[in-house]
Amino acid sequence: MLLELDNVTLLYGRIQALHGISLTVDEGEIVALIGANGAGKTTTMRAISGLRPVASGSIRFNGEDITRLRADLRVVRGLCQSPEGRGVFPGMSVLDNLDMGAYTRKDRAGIAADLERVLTLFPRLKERAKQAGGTLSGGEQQMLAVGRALMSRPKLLLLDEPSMGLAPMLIQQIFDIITEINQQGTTILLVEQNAQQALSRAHRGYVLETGNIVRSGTGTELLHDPAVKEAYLGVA
Amino acid sequence: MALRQGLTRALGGVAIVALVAGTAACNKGSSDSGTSAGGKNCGYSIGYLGALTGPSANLGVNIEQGAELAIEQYNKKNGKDCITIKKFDSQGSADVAPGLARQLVADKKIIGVVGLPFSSESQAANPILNDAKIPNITPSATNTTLSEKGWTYFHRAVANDSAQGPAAGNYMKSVMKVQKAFVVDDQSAYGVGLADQVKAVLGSAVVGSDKVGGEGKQTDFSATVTKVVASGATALFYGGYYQNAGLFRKQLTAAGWTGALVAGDGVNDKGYIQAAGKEAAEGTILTCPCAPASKAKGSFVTDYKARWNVDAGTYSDVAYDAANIYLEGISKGNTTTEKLNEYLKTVNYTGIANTYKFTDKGELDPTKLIVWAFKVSGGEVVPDQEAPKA
Amino acid sequence: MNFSNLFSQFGELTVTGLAQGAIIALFALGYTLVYGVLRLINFAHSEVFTVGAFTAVLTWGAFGLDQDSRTPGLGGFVGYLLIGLLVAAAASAATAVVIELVAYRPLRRRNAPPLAFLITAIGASIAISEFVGVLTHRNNKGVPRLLTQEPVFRIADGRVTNLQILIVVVALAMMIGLDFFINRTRLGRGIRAVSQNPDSAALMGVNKNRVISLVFLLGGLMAGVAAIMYLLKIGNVRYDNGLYLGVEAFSAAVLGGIGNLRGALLGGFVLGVFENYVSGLFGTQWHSVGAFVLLVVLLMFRPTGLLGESLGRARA
Repeated sequence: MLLELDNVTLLYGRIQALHGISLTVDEGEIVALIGANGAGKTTTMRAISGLRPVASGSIRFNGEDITRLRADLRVVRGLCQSPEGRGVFPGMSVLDNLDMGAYTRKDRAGIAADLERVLTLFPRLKERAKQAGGTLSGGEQQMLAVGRALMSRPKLLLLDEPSMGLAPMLIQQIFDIITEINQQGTTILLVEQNAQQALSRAHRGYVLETGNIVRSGTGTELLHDPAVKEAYLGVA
Repeated sequence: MALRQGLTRALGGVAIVALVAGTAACNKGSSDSGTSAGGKNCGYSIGYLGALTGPSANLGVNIEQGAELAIEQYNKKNGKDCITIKKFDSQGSADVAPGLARQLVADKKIIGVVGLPFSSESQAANPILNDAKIPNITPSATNTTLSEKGWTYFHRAVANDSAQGPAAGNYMKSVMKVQKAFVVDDQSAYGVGLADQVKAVLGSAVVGSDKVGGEGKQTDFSATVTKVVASGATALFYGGYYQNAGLFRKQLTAAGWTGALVAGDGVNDKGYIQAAGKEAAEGTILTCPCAPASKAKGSFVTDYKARWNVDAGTYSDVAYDAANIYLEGISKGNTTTEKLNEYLKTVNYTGIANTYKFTDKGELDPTKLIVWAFKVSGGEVVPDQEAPKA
Repeated sequence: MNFSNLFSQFGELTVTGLAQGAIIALFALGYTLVYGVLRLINFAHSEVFTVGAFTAVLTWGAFGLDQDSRTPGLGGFVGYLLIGLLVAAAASAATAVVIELVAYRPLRRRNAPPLAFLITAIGASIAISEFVGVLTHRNNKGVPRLLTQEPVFRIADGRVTNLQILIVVVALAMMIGLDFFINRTRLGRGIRAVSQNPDSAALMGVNKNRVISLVFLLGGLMAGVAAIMYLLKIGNVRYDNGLYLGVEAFSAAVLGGIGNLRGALLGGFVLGVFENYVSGLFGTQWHSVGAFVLLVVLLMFRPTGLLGESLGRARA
């Protein structure tokens, strides 16, 4: 098991946002976390990446307890998140943004190779290399955010709503790239509102409702689950 | 534990015995001199209201120490703690002084005040002293308007700026023979008053003027230095206080201006030389509506040095006299503030620095005004000569 | 108004204004750096300057120099200048980092509201300046004369002295060095990342606390160098000098665009020169009125300052 959450709870002030989440991600998988707005998907991601402290429960990554580890040190362990809303650095060029992804790395040759790989995955970024991050379109910023996360060469890549705000054609493209990244050997935990796409690409999935995991199974199982169909796939 | 308590008690007992013995000895000593500590006219206080700390503290300390010395000498003759001094540290600030004045007037033991040293704080605090009918003698606030506010309890033991300003101007004109002068003030009541008087005396010899920030408010004088250098002036009058005068002089010298700086008593302090540095300060002319403290009569100079371990500074002698005027009044039975004030109206007191007689406005009698010029020489402020009256 | 004064002394007023502006600019960098990363006006930065200045004067004193000692030769000047720069920069940087650790970090850990930071900043500023005031008896401390100021060349009517050249060159050099550090190095990229998006920066592995310490350290280094230039120019230091100069430095930072390094430099120069012109035209008593009216008017038309909030553009 690469990642294991055991009964994780999290508070925003007095409001309990997560009521004991348990989930696992195995090496080589794409795991999708689906749910409605406010179900706690992003909060779960923030707990895993360390941006929010958890109230109880434990998080293990690669055999190590990282429940209380600082966010920046989790990156060093190989856990990298592309945040919701993309979070690109608006005043930095596309190249500088990508370099930030490799902030914790020292292997110059490896970084250069990964940069090449990202620019091959996202040819648009190559065209905009010198442009400031803040001047890119929404889709381009999403590519930049994913590319930047890849630059840390993570063991586990956390993607928070990679398709949000994108045109349908671009959504297709971004999921193609996600699949490709996974096939190149990166484990992925994916949070999505677009359940159809996410579940059809994922090996396994979890369904989140108001801070609780209510269903889990393989992607195909969930895609065919009537309740999931009704609630998240827009099928009556 | 028990042992320790016993020891403490034993030590305490010894201390009390020593204390009683000491007191007895004191009583014996004073009864020999003829006046007992409990004699009449004791138990009153003289207040000092003025700077003891803050950027312009030196002058205030000079004054407070002069007054305190007078009171201590009086008490030696009239019994320990007969008259006490109560100090209120205004830091020389017009913002702080009024609050302290209110504290002071609440203390009914205080029947006379030595102070306030500076003109700005006097303007702020004197109405309170006057309303409370507390006589006050300033040994150093020289702004002319202070005596024109109808404060019947205000007295000034030195010449005001209308004497000091012209004297400084006359010194520049007659002694230094200045053809081109520049005049700068620090926008304080004191500085502007002096500078305007000097301008009036020098007339067309003034080739330029400027106004700078007061103590602590400005440290970079480069724009004014530029003007002074460009004006071709050979002498500069600065109306203000010693710290900024020192900074200004230092920057003038650094910029290559070799003319002489002339200033009033607010700059007449060692702190000026500290701020300017000995080399830049050399040759500065400083006026003072006072005679040199070192020329004071009697044993004051040596007494002061013995008591405070420093030489008597500017106005120490006048403050000593001011305190003694009160003490004489009290010993003659003027033990209410009103009576003491009446006493000041008629006094003709010969002290160590001057003879004091006040006009109905509280100013020194015109025949008693003294203004001296001092010169900075070898890092010391030394008396030069009495400034010409015209 | 005295136009002939202004015109006849225009060159001189410009040169002296640039020298003063250079000092203000170096001082302003600390405000701008910290604001860029924390959105906090670190009012205690004025005391960072003061501590550096006093440390240098005391160190020179330990070498037997006081303001009445003889001016050393060129070798001595360079030696004492370097020593002064070193100790002042070190003392200022240490003060800045300690202020951050002691005063601000505990507030951040508790997610304190912005007002708590503001009051803490003001409190730290007053406490330190008063502490220095009590230690120094609130007296001016004279600075050794390390350099005899001499005109080197003239521009029109303006004499340019060796000291003025030194101050402007040092300020520009520090500025270029800092600009390079922020824009061209890995640590600098970390600073920019935290200033533009702190959460994303953490997700990239940037240790926010270390970046914040670094920013205070850099601001302190600049303030220490500013303090040395100030000492050479003014010749005295007092416990409250930092407070007054700090207001000007902070204003210069806002004038140029707070959070923007080049803006701080430009703001410093503009403020220094403009104050001198106002002094020449209306009299020195008007210099602050002129400077702050300029600030208010400029902000009306360019609310983000002359060059805009570059480090801080992120949140827009």
